[in-house]
Amino acid sequence: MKILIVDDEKPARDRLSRMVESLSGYQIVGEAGNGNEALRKSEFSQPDIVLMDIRMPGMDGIQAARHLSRLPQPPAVIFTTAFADHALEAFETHAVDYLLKPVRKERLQSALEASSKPNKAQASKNDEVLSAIEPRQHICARVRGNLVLVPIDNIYYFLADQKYVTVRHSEGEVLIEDPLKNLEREFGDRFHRIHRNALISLSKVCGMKSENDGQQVMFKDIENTLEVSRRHLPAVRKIIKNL
Amino acid sequence: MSDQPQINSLKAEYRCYLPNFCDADVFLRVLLVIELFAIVFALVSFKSGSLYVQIALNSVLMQWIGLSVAAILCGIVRPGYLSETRTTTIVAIVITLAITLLVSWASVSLMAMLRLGPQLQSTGFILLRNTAVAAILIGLALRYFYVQYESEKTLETEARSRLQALQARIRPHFLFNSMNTIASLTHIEPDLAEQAIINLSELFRASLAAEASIPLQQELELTRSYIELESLRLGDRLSVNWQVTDNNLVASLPALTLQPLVENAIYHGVEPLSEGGVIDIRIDTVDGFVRIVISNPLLEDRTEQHREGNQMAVNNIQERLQIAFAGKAAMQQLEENNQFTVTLDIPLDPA
Repeated sequence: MKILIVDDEKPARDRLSRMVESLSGYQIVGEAGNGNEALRKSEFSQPDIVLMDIRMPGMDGIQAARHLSRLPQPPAVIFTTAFADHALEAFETHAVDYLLKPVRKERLQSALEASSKPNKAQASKNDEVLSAIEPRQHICARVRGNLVLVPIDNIYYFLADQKYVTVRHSEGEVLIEDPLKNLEREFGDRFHRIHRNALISLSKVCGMKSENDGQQVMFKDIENTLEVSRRHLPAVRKIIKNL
Repeated sequence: MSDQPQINSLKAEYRCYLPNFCDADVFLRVLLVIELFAIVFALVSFKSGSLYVQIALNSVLMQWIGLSVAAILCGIVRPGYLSETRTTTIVAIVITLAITLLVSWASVSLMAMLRLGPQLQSTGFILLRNTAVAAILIGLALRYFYVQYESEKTLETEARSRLQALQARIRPHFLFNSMNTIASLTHIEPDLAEQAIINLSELFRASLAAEASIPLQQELELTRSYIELESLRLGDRLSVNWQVTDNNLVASLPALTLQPLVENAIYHGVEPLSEGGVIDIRIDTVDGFVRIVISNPLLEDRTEQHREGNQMAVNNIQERLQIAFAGKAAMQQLEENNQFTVTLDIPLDPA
């Protein structure tokens, strides 16, 4: 079994890796100091299990785990934490595996033995559980084989087109596979539905104009406009009035 | 030094509820209250003749009794004696009544001897009346002392328990992270692990101690121990820039006042930064105050949650400073250009 160790503190990584090495049947394929690095290293070394610290600078462990669970072949994630993070209670109720630091060797062994790579359905269920703890702060997309992280704050809109959703952000566009319905559920407080196929960021919209017998919303800083469907028009009007 | 507050609190438990009658202030107040009663009795019983003579006669009699009782109580009320409320009460009443009988009898005899006026009542009646009045007055006085003592004690207990509740607590997060670091170091670097355990012990000793205040230099030592522990954990992500102009500043402050501020700086300032950061700690004097300035970088897009956690610790310290220095210490926070600065001014100890 291939294991990736993620923790921002070197002594903590050292200790876990020494313990894992002393168990047979496990091989450490990498170490990472934060969530971003964990995603990159996972792509590269395809671990079966990720030992993931929760509180880390940059992208934290829960965020990273959420992105990992969306990989084509998601690894099993075991969280490690020093003390009652706000997440622990949620972990308990959803049977998400976690270890308390300093970790006991027997406990580590049983957690490793119990974990197996989740299938796609399990992984998306894990993601849902974690989304209750913490909404994502980035959208993770793949551009020419590389992982690209787009901060939610930089996104103008999500536009669905058949199988894919176009994410328009401040530096361009990326394609993702998440259904618009799920995005609306996860980011409903910051994005609003204006059409069957579109969600717009409430912090990026700046107005509305009539064009081709319809209404179009306009955004700050970019030229693109999006059509508002007749059904969503009253609600969108109200939002724009309150800007 | 560390035993001092405990001895004090023990004394508090065994204190007599009567005030210290040897104290000039208390003595004067006894005199004043007795005089007021002498005037009241004179006014009430005044029928004919001179009111002043009546007041004077009452005063002589009552002051004799009152001041003698106070003098005797001054002699026997000592720390450690008369700790039991019931004994104190009985002793005070017995003394008062005895003195009253004695002085009344003496005054009656004296008046008869000097033929200062007709004796209108029998000696027995006078003695009985004076004793009854004295019993009522001493009863009132004792009740007053007791109620006052109780309310003082309650206030004191409240203040003490409030201070205990506010006493700096080591963040559990820090404790377990440190334990984890130590667990890791025991194999690779036993010497560092040993040092870490010693540092951690010192912090806990300070956190568990009942001491209200410690010298500034000791607090600086604790803060250094704390920083050493965090450096082991965070490696080169944490750097601390100390600027201490004078290493002999004499001041005292509530234990673990400075350390939590540095802990905040690390927790909210350095830890969230992937590349780490620098904490500046500057200590100098300004007009009879020790000024401590702690400054840390801030993450640009931080969440509200971090701010709140920070505020709670800061409020706690502010309240402890308020109790310790009665408003003479000041704490200010400033957030500017992604830099967070706390300034603490505590009075220098008089040389």
